[in-house]
This record gives sequence, C-alpha cells and structure tokens, in this order.
Amino acid sequence: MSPELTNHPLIRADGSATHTTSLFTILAAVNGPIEVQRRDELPEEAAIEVNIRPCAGIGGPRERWLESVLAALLKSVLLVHAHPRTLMQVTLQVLKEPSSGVRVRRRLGDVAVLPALVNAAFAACVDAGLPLGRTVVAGLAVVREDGDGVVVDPDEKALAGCRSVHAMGFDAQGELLLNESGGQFELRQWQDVFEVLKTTAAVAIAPTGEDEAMMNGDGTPAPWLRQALEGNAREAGAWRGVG
Amino acid sequence: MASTIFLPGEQVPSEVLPRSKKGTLTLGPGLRHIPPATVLATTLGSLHIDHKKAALWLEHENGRYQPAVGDLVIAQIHHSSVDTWHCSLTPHTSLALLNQLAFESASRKNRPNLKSGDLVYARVSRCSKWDDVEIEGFNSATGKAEGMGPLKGGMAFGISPAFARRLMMGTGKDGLAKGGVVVLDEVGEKVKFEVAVGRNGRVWVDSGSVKTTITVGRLLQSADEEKWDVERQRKEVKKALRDV
Amino acid sequence: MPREQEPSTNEHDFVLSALQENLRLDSRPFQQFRPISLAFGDEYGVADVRIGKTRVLAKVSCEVTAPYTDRKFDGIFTISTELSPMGSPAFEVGRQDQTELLLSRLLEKAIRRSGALDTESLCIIAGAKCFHLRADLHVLDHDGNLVDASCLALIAALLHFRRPDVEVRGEEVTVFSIREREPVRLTIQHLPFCVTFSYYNTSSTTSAEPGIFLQDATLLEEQCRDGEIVISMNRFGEVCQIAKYGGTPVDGLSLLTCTNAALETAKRFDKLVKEKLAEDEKVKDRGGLMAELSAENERPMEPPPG
Repeated sequence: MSPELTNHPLIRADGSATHTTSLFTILAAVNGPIEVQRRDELPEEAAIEVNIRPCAGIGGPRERWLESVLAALLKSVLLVHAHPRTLMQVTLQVLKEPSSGVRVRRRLGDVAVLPALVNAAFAACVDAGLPLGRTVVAGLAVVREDGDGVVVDPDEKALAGCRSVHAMGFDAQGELLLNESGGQFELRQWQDVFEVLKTTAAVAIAPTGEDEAMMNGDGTPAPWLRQALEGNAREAGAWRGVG
Repeated sequence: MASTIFLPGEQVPSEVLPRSKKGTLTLGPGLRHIPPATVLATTLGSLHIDHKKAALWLEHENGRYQPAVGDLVIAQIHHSSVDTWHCSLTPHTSLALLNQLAFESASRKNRPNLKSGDLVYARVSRCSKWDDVEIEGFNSATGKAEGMGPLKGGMAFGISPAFARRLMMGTGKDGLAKGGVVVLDEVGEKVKFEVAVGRNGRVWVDSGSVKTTITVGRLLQSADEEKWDVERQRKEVKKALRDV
Repeated sequence: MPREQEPSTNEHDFVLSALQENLRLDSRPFQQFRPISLAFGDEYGVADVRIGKTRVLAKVSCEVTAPYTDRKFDGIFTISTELSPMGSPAFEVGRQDQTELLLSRLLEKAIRRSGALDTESLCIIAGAKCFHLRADLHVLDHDGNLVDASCLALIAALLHFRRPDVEVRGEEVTVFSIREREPVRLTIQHLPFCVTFSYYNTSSTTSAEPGIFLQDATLLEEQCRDGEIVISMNRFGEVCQIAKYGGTPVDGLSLLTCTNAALETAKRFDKLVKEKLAEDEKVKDRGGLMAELSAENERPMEPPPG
C-alpha cells in the first residue's frame, strides 16, 4: 500500500496533515510562528515544541523520547533562524496503530511509528508555510526473522515477526537525517536497509517529468510525496486559472 | 502561464532567473539566497516571476499571516502603555506596537481614544525578525489617513490570509478583478456598505443594517472556504441579495 | 500564558445586536445545530464527531486489571479529556485550564455517574480481575460547543466498542483476541446526551421577560454570552444533570423551556447515533466475521440424490 497524505484536514491549526501508512494513521497540526513563553525563548532562533498524543491513554516516557527525536529532526529541517524568539508548535495525534492483538516488542513498536510521525509533521509544516531548508522523507523497513531479506513499509504481520526495525529519514540530496533502529542486527544488514530506504525515499520525491503517466503505470512506485504536495500547491493556486 | 512548483529546499534553476540591467534580483517570500548564486525554495509553492522588476517569489496559500512593510492590517488593541498601544494582528503572536500619535492630525492633546478590544485599520510600518512589529494609523510620508484609522461599529469577519490578499489585488487593466473575487463589487452594485480588508485575515464590514452586514460577511467567508469561482460568486450574490 | 484571544469590541457588540434582531452570524435559528457528522473508525470504539467546525474524536479501549478493593464487583471506567494545542493554541500541554476542567466534570456527571455504563458487567472475577475501560477524548478542532460534541462522541464510541470475550475456569481467565472469538458489546443502560444553552441578557430583557437562549453556540458566541446551562438527558426525558456554573441568574420558567428543548435535541442525537451505528454494522458485516458465522445456518439443503 502506498502511503497517503491528506492536506489541511483541520481548520483551527495554521497547518495540518493526515498521513496513513499500512501501520499507522497520524494527524499532525502545526501552529507557528507564535508567541513563546519566556522560559522557552531562544534569542537567535525559534523554539520547537513537539507534542505526541497516543491514541489511547496519556503520553509517557515513550512519547517523550519520540518527541525529542522529532524535535531534533525538525530543527535540522526548519529554518529556525528566520523567526527568532518565537515558537513552532507541532502536535501529533496517533489516530490508528496496529491493533493490540498483534504483540509487538516494545522498542520495535516505538521505532516503527517514527517514519509516519516524521512525514506527517513535515507535511503539516509545509502546509503551515513555515520556512524549510529541505524536504525530508522517512521510511520504515524491517529485517525478517531469518536475518535475510528487507521488507519496506511492513504490515502488522511483518512487523510482528521481524528481527529488527529501522526508521530512516533522508532529504532530497540523500543525506541521512534520521536513523533509529531497534532489535538485533549486524552492520551488514543495516547497510542493506540503508540502501533500500535511501532508494525508496528518493523515489518518493523523484521529479515528475512529462512521462508522468508512464511512471504510474507498470508497477513503478509513484513519487507519492511529491505528487501529494504538488497537488496541494496546484489546488491552492486554482483561482488563478493556472493549470 | 504554466508555473513550476517547487518543494522546500529545491534550487531555482539559474536559467529561469530573470535578468535585470542592474544585475540585481529581488527575492520575495518563499525563497532564499545562498551566496554566490544559488536560489533555494523555503516552502512549497508555485514560482512567479516579474521580469520587469526582476523579482521572483513563491506563492503559498496556507499558514499564519507574516507581517511585511506596507501591508494594510486590522489590528485589535490589547492594552495601552505610555505612548503606544499594543495590538494583536493574529491570535497568539507577540503584539505589534502602534504609536498613539500615528494618526491623521493627532497631537498630544487630540488623539483617538482607543480601549482594549477596539479595532484599528493600520499599515505595517516596520518589521524585522529581531524587533517588534510597528504599525501606523496614517501614511507617515503624507500625513494623510488614506482610509486608515479606528474602526467603529460594524463587524470583523475572519478569512484566510490568502483570500485577503486576493481581495486586495484590485482590478487589472482589463477591468477584471485580478484576485478573482467579485463578491464585493457585485454586492456593491445593489447595496451600500463600508469595507476594510486586513491582510492579517480579517475583513471589517459595516452597513446600516445588521442583516446586510451578515450577508456580506457570510458571502466572503463562504467564497473563501468553499473556493467559489467567479461564476459561482455572481450566482450566490444574486441569491443572497434577494433576501435583503 | 496562552489564552483564547478575546473578541474585539466590534464583534462583541455586533453579535449581541444581531441576536436582538433574532439573527445569528451563520443565519441559523436559535435552537438549531450546525451540520453534524458522525463517523466510526475501522476498529471498534472510535467515533469522530463534527459539529460545524468543531471536531472531537473519542476512542474507547480496555485492558484487564485488578478492581478497586472497595468496589470488588465493579469494573473500572475512566474518561480522559486532555486538551492539546491541536484544537486551539490556547490549550497548553500539561496545564489544566477551565475549559478542560468543566468538560471532564460534566462528562463525568452526565455519563459515568448517570450509570450509562453498567460497570458490574466489566467484572471478571470479583475482587481479582476486571476490565479497565478507558475513554480518551481528543479535541481536534475547537469552534465552540465542546461539551455537546464530546458527549455525543463518547456515547457513540461506547456503543461502537466491543470488548474481548473472556472465559473463566475456576481462577483461570482466558481473554480471547478479536480474531479468536467475536468480541462482546458493552452493556449500556441508557444514552444520556448533553445539550448546552448559551444565554444572553440583552438590554431589553427584564426579569419578567426571558433572555435569549442559543443551542450549539460557536466559539465567538460563547465568548460573548452571559452564561451557560448544560442539561444532560436521555431520549425518555430523564434528566441526568443540570449544570450552571456562574453567570447571571436565570428564572425557573426559562429553565423548563430549555429542558423541553433539550429533550428534542436528545431525541435527535439518539436517532442519529443509532442510525449511524446500523449503517456502520452493515458495512463492517459485508463478508466479515458475522457473515461467515451466519453462513452456517443459511447453507442450502442439498438436493436429494437421484
């Protein structure tokens, strides 16, 4: 299943996006730049606040960890120096997660949610019109129990029966911005995953040329992120009568 | 004109950059310059180029209003200090400063009496990322109000900043609204009302009757939210005016 | 401290003068709601309610725990209403503000204490094992009338939820996953709904003349009101609670009028929830587990040989 992205599902927030993968549905909302509280104020740059809210229950150490990973990533993507002494507030709501029937080992499940969070947060930041230095795409892959074979964008079954989970994020230049792994793996396996995820990330934002129609046919994966974003930009400019 | 869409971080190819005699370029919103000669997109948007002014910018529709010098805004007085009013342009952002004497023919003895919650139609006179935004209730170059000043009565409706921008675009040489919004013109042919559009996503409407004011405000909000095209706008205006 | 921005004087005065002319900004009648939509999630116990621009998502989940020692025969039911900046930047994480406090208290009174859910049915082994049912409310967009929307979402989610089936053999408890055994509905005894009335004492109103009462006020209307009354009742007109926190006084007759109006709304909500549930069940059932189970009875008789 190719990931889905819905633009601007919310009304109040400055920017928002819903992102659905085969495992998770995340709703992201961004407010900013807004007034920052004195204690969080940074003289030279914008403060980034990330709140992750689980589907059921209130956030605990797991959410705090995810928040810190995400805040660090967003800091490298957002041009924080453009709005000093302000706050960029990102709220991520998990709407759907693998059903509790599938027992996923704790740490593996924690890593698995990261790519969906990253993509949703990024799309919401784009929607909010915040200044961004680059485009980031995150992907998830698991190494199967036998230690061979990498599954990209795994489903619940693949996640439940895997040896290790890897979440990675890349920008358009292929630079690694996010790297979190869980489970047991060797360097060789990590390198395999790295290559595979790097390719998938590049595909997601590959430029669409005149042969757009051709690319979507014959099973070639579509550049889903670029298509979703460009679709939004076109729709927004529709009043001009620009095609 | 087929416009190209850029993703954040993408480079604007040097061959599309406009050439000017002076050899300088003016970069608008959504773009940044990395020396020596790289222009990068900082947001998602379609590229627009003005070859005459050697200017280029990216257009992005959503998001919070960002003040820029010269923008007309509807500010809400928050509180007053010795010589200035602290006003809010959008909720939850730091307050903009309005000098109490920055109004037409205002003096120490004779200045508008504004209280917390009052609205002012003003112009952004200074803004930088390091300082508080400053606004003024008259054109400080000419000393004339030029339509600015306190807004009494009426109703302020919320609209999206992008829609406010379209409302402010005016009419082109061909007599068509550049922003593709004809609601105000269409209504204006039938009923009398006053209007002030703030780039910060607020539009103030006042007419003699409550009903007319609501009708105008609703038309604007619906045209914004439901993205009416010109044809639809005309139709809806006709329908709405039948009841007034 | 972030707070919702107060409406400008112009807006405040305009809303009031419009009300005096019997007009609302969205040209709705005083007792009419904005368009309501109710959608259920793919999994059990998720309800997404939109009233105009307000949007609330309720999620019900459960786990097996030990019951409270003083309530050995009851399961545990908790409602969590933590507001996040998603609904409005005025909501701060980790700080309970007035809105949140009122919301959680009202839901507690309207649903938990009115006995809408039979907590005894959540008991597995008295004093040892029970279900802990928790309902999480997520306010995604805030444009007024949070209480009514939250209550509606919560009731809908409770009705939609199925808890896993259990089997008790002596001291041993087996909890079956959804795949193993068809999960069980909750025992809901009645469906209480909250209806909020915002009232305005316009300058023309005297003590003899009732003021203006609005149902389903928008955020702006809420900010301009003189007070609110929240009435919770089910479709039989049984009042679960009436709340009026502060505000100017209201005479008894107006309160009765409100109660009657609330009954109409409660009946409407009741019908809406049941209709949507039936729709959802139909969709879920198509080729689903229930179809498989019932197929056994519908198997056509084999024609006699020869």
